[in-house]
Amino acid sequence: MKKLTKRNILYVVLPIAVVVALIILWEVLVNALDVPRYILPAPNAIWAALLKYSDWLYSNMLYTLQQIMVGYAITIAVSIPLAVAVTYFSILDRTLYPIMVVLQLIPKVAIAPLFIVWFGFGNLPKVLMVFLLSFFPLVVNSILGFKSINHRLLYMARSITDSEFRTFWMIRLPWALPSIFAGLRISIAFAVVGAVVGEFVGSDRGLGYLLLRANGLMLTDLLFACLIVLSLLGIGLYLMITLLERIVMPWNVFKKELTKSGGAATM
Amino acid sequence: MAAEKCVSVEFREVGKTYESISGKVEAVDEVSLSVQGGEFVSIIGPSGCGKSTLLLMAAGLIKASRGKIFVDGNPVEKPVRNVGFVFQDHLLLEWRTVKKNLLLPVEMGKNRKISDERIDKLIQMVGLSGFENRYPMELSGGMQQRVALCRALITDPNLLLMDEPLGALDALTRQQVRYELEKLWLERTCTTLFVTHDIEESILLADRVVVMSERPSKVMEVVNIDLPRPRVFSKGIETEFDKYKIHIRNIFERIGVLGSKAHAR
Ligand SMILES: Nc1ncnc2c1ncn2[C@@H]1O[C@H](COP(=O)(O)OP(=O)(O)O)[C@@H](O)[C@H]1O
Ligand SMILES: [Mg+2]
Repeated sequence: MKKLTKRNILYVVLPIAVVVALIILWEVLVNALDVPRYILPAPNAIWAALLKYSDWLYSNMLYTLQQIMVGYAITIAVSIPLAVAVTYFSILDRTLYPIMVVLQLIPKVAIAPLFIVWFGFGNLPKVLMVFLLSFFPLVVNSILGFKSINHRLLYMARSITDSEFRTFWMIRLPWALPSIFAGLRISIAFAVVGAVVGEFVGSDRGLGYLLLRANGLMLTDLLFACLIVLSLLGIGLYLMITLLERIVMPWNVFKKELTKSGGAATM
Repeated sequence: MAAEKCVSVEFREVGKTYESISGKVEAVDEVSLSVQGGEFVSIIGPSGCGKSTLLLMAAGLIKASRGKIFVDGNPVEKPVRNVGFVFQDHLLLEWRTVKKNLLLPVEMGKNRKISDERIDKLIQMVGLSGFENRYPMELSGGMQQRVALCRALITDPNLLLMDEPLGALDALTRQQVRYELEKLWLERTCTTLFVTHDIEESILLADRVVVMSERPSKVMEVVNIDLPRPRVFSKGIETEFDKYKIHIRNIFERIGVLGSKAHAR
């Protein structure tokens, strides 16, 4: 297990100290140089804005979070079964996969206005935007995970059982899990971007909308407050996935520790 | 010995040609070999001569291009059941503990019941007591391969197929695992095909050694090994043992796998 060695404490304390120092520097410089508030507010002004607009920020955050969760749920529900299908049916691998790669090259953010035309100003275009941005990393990583299976493992499975279900459940899926989780972690960051873009283009709610409003009203302190909430939202979601990963794959956490400490036990 | 549950294996003029995008690979030209129930047969040959291919065909995991294979008198057309497989890489599932890894064939196969005593005995025999609840990556290479051996044996297979099971181990560990392999095998003799490219290893446990030529491979010679068991740590068989070693090396020299004519390879 981890020990709180001097070095470990240093690893935690040092970054925090650097951030605190930067914030203080920011505060001092803004005051000393008399930078206008609408260009760059001082940290304490941003803090004040966070408190002042907290109700507003909170309700809009909830709305954005909701779009992210729904869109991300769709991403998971589509990507993983699709990855499974691509793994099992080589025709899909040869047809669907190249199409997906090409579609991936379309700048998806540019599609957002089109979604407004097609789906109006409701939740649907935002949810779709979340889906569109977070879909690809998850599907690609999942496919890579499923495909990287050791073929001798499949030989072994086939000499034990005919059941493709059990082979999938006991071998293929756990094998792919580390990759799937890598995909989930990348995807969640894109999901947040997707929600904000969706709200930028046409919304009367959400943090993306609030950002634009704050910008329009030259409330730069509120704009920064939005950025902070948005960042915290992203970090929180990321941590949730990491936590889930630890619960689902206890052995993997362990493996990471092992590789860090340099090798397995010897006898 | 439980000879009645040991299956025979027969290769009848078996050949294998792989067809891939890059062209045809003639791996096995023609192999005919009859292995009796309970026999330990080593297959030795240069790398790439189709040893792994032979095992996979015997297990019904890939199809022979020519000829026929019979296991227990029945032609092999689909994966043969109750086969124990050990590969060079241990193939333990990193998400399962040692004990859960051992139980994999039981859980996946669904139809067999294994008593806890059987599991404990196997674990004890290979010196893994106390490691039951560890993950494979916590074990050394030798321990991992021991677990893989036990996993193959847990369902009391009628046929044990081993593809260079000691190949990934360092020299000392290899000696140790050899010893355990012999112990396990003597405890519960079953028909065994043991693939190796190590001359000494091929003789050590075998009733017979099948010497293969280079790809496309044929059987060059089948050498009967007439040594008392157990062999790994027994004294006094060295001179006999060396005779077999020299004999097999001579075969390889004759066909140009070893010796001065092999320099170009
Ligand atoms: N799936 C495959 N597709 C094409 N060629 C293969 C395949 N598997 C093995 N081969 C070729 O067949 C030959 C024999 O392979 P293998 O049975 O693995 O040899 P060995 O185990 O004796 O080293 C090799 O030349 C190898 O490259
Ligand atoms: Mg091989």
